[in-house]
Amino acid sequence: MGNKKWTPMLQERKSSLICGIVFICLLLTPMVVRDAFAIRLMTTTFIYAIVCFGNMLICGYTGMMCLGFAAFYGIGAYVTALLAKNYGIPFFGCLLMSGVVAAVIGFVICIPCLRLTVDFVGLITTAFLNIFLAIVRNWNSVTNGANGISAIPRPVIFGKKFSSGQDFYYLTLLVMAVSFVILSNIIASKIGRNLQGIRDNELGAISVGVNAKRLKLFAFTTGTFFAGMAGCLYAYYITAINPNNFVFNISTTIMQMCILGGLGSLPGAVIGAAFFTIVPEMYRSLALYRIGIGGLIMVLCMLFRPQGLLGSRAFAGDKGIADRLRQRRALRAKKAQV
Amino acid sequence: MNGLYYFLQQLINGLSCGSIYAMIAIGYSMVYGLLYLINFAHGDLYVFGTFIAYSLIVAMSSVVHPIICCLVAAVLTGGIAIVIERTAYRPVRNANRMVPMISAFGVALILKTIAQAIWGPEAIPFESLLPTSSINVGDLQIYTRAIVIPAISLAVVVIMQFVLNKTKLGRGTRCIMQDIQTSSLMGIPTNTIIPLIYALGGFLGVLGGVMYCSYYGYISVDMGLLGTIKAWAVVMLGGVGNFWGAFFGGIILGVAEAMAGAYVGTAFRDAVGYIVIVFVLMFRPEGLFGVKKAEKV
Repeated sequence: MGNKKWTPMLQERKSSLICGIVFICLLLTPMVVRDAFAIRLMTTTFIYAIVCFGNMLICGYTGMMCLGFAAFYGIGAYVTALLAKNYGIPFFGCLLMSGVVAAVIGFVICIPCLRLTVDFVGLITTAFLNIFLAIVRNWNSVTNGANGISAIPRPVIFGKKFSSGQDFYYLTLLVMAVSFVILSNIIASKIGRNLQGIRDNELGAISVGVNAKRLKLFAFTTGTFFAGMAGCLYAYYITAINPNNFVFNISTTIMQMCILGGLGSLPGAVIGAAFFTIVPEMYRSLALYRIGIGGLIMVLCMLFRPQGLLGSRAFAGDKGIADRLRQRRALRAKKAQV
Repeated sequence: MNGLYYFLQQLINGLSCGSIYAMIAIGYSMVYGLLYLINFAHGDLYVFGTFIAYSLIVAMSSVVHPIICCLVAAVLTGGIAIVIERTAYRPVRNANRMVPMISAFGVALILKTIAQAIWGPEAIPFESLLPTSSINVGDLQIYTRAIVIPAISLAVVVIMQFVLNKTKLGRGTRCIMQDIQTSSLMGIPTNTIIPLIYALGGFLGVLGGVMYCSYYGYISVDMGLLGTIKAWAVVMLGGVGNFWGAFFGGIILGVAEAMAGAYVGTAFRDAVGYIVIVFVLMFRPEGLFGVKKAEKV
């Protein structure tokens, strides 16, 4: 039993040490990497990572399937675009408002989902995404229809104007790191354990006194809050948004990121986001086959390691091919010994 | 009176559109009922099959009748469905529900890419296989296809209902729907029946896809995802694993969309369709024809 040394607490300390080291490395990266394109990819990764945190809380830790997550991301972006452009609201106001508006709408959407099974939650959120897109595309006086909103002003924080790629790199990295710390604390708390209980067996969790409805509402609202914040950063970063930035494909990309990284793991969300942002750029010459390669990776990942790279075992079922092969080999070795 | 005619015209449009949805959804409903798998590949599979049908028609229409080409394409698609089941679904059947769903989604992306590589990303005009004549009833013009499509769809539902209730395959399928483990213990060949049902879903999907493309006059790779979501919504609305549910769910969605397109504006067509579905599900979470399932810990 060599594993006994790694008590949960030690393991936790070890993983937070790794996270800290990664964070410091990321802080230092722009000093080494001067390539603007690389910095841009990293920044996009961080924004997506924040969205994935939200989705991870909802899907990976609570087991609700939100297929309309792009809508909440879009709500955040549109709120920021409108507030910053039309009313000149400063950065932190926009960040907070984007999160809050997305969270309030998320709360309302979650209410009908509470009585329903996973599939219905997916359908209702898909429906919501379609309704959101229909509204945004047709409410010309406010959202400027299909053309979207452009010329969103750059954020000004404490008198400093954020306009270069490096500025945004640090800004998004900071927001991501803070979100990570907040969420990992939520997940390590009693609430987080209850959420995982709901994911693994909802009736069982209710029967031991977990208030599933309230916790699901909490998870959904918090998750959409982070999506809204990411939308805010995205709007500031890209400075021009239109409805096509928030279609169903974006929802599925977010889902893919979480799944590849591993459902039920926050660092997994970052890795998944990085993978699906950076890798498609690497085989740009194969642009035609891009989505197909993405699909192939998903299938292989599910077959060999259903829980994703860093995911929770709760999703693995009878484990993937890799695990089964290892078991078979172990069995054979045992037989050979006998 | 003009208003009434307009209404009736839209109703008829909605009926034929809804019948096509129903056709696509029937196969989906079966798979859903068997494994509770949100089969994201269904849409792309039927679009792929419809593309095969298109190519066959273009290449062979002088030799054989186009409808035979469609049937051949449908059978081929059934074969592809079996291959997909064996490679991407069966190994993960016992994992969390999310896992097969994701691998299905991966398969959808692969199929879409292959279709795009072969037939290109643009919409291709699809010559209608349905009759284009029309009948005049007073001032009301009814296209023959508006009668043919619902008739085919209804016939398929009746046949499938018969297969499910009266044949050995159907009995096995119903057992698997109840409990996969127990039925395999009872000697039901689950690993034969499940691929067969997948193949049947692909087969019917292609028939629906050909009708869809004939109705709208074009075919494009982008129809896949839309088709999946529509089929999913229809199945949810009608009740999982129920053919009549899929049929009436499809018709309700089709009519709701046609009415929304006519009276609210085409931009809100999809949104209104979804609002109707969500509204129905709020009051009947198990779907219109669904049976409530008791949950167990």
